[in-house]
Amino acid sequence: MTVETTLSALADETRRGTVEALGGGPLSAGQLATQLEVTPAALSGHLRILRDAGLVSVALDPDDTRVHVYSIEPGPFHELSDWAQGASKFWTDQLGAFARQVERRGRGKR
Amino acid sequence: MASGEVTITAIVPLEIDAAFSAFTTDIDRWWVRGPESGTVVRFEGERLLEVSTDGAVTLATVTASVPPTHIELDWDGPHSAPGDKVIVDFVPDAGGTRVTIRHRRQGIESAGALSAVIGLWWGDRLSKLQRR
Repeated sequence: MTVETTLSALADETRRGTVEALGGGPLSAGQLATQLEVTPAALSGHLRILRDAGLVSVALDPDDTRVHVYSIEPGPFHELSDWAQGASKFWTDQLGAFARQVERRGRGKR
Repeated sequence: MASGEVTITAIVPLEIDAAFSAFTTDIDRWWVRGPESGTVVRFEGERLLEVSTDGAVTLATVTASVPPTHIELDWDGPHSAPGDKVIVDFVPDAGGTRVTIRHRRQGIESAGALSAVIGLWWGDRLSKLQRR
């Protein structure tokens, strides 16, 4: 999965809310629907998109095999975070170098 | 952070025209480049190039230039993916000129997804989730 896939999957408020809710630990679809105040039917489509993007996984609840529980898959989030951190450092370095060059030029003119 | 973008800002003690010129015309004086020595970085036509004895690498293609306030680039340099945009804005400031660089990735800008993810995951939660 790419950063773009991750971002595209998160381009929806309900899906971001789902991810945030699952950040606290695995939840069933019913628990998620209650927490997010959406119908199970509406949530189902969002969960499918998140699963297809590799952002969440689903498994049987070991305590009740009639229930599926959803969990965060951290890999794509690390990939996205890595890109954001890398790009931030790169542009911070570039803009810092630009500012220092301007200062040097200013000192040279004094 | 603006919605869905990596945004970096600095204020330089120059009037806006001089700041824009220093950023563009004088880019080779300040651009931080890779470990290969002897490269030259310059805007040439619509491209930002890093030129070495082996040839030129296109770092970016200029898609909009409105001196002295705005440059927009299709970004192909470090940390890029197809569709990446880099937008540089120059705004007069009490200290001179405020320069803002925004690196925008395709799919980010519509919904603030990156902001949300960073807000959620750069903190404790991300560190608690082990890499698999």
